[in-house]
Amino acid sequence: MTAYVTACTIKRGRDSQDAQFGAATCTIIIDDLLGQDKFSVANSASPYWNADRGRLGFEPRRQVRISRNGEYLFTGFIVGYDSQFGIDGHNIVTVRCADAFLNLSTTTINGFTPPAEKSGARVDRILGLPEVGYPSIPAPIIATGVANLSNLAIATQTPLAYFNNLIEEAEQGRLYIDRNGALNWEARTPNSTEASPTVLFNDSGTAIPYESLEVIYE
Amino acid sequence: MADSVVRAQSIRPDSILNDVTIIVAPNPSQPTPTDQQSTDTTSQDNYGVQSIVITDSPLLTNADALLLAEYLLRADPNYWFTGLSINMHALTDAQRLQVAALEIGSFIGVTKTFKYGTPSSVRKNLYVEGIEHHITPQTHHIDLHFSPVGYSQPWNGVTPTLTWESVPAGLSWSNLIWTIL
Repeated sequence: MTAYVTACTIKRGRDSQDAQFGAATCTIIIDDLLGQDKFSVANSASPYWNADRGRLGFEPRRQVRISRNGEYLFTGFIVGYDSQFGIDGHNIVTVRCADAFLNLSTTTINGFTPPAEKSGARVDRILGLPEVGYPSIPAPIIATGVANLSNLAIATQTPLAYFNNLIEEAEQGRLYIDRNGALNWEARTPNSTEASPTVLFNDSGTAIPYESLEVIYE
Repeated sequence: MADSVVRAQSIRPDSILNDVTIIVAPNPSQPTPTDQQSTDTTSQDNYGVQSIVITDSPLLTNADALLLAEYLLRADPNYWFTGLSINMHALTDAQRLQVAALEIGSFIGVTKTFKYGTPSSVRKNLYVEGIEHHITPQTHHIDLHFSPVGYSQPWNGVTPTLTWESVPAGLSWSNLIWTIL
């Protein structure tokens, strides 16, 4: 369907280390004049029509993947499918998508008391709760973590609220869905490292060039 | 005590914090927790007291709390590259592949050159925190958002084996102080 897409915007992760993680989003704009109403929710002659269900195949929770140069840039699901019918027949479809992070805010942890454990084990335990039922495919990638967590009772709340609390008050790590759709839990970023990055950007033509650079001084 | 409340914190890795206190919630391993405080009095003298207190942390022991307090301490102001923009159509195929494969948490290096003054270039090593794509049939721009490795690595030339005798030209005392801290 790429031939009918006029714009695509993907936002993943967070703006800075002090911001909370949320679901990645992807917005796809389709010009259905080019598509000759293939993307109309009412067009039963569309090649995308799901005859079994009697509706367009582009429905909420349908999987979406965006790729470039053989690398996925986003893996997620449709959460909204909006149409604007122009009087001139120029119909614009906006497909709104989110990644599997959504599962962390649409389920609820029933209060329970876990054992004392590392943050990675805690995240794994929460994801495996039956009431959370986080998908095991693709398998979550969970680091051990630095933070040792207590065995205090966990109150009823969404997994996302609990994980963001763990990040802010214990691990100071990262939680995100990667480009291939797998949930990642990462440990606290080190304050120093002797490692050398392999991907380099510069403005002198000897590495990957950038157009603009933002700097803050605080 | 149930860990039930999401408490908003504002901890910027690039802001001065010279008085950090973490208190774990009472638990069987630490039934009577005490304040675990990390401070830098020189920073307080220079910039005033800038503090943050985290109470009822889900951490297990006082030692865990002190480790986090020390991690969050930022004694000196510093500057960071917080983000950059890339035009994918201005890159080579190999460069496009490298950029397309970047992930949240990727470790990258950014160098900025300067026409005037000293030094003529500055390199920062950073972690990717966020990635935005803005794509049309004709264009593809990417915005990357970063967090710093930490104030202890202002230059790649600073290593654990660096001595006063081997300090390269241009590396000042204050830079080395950042490293030692």
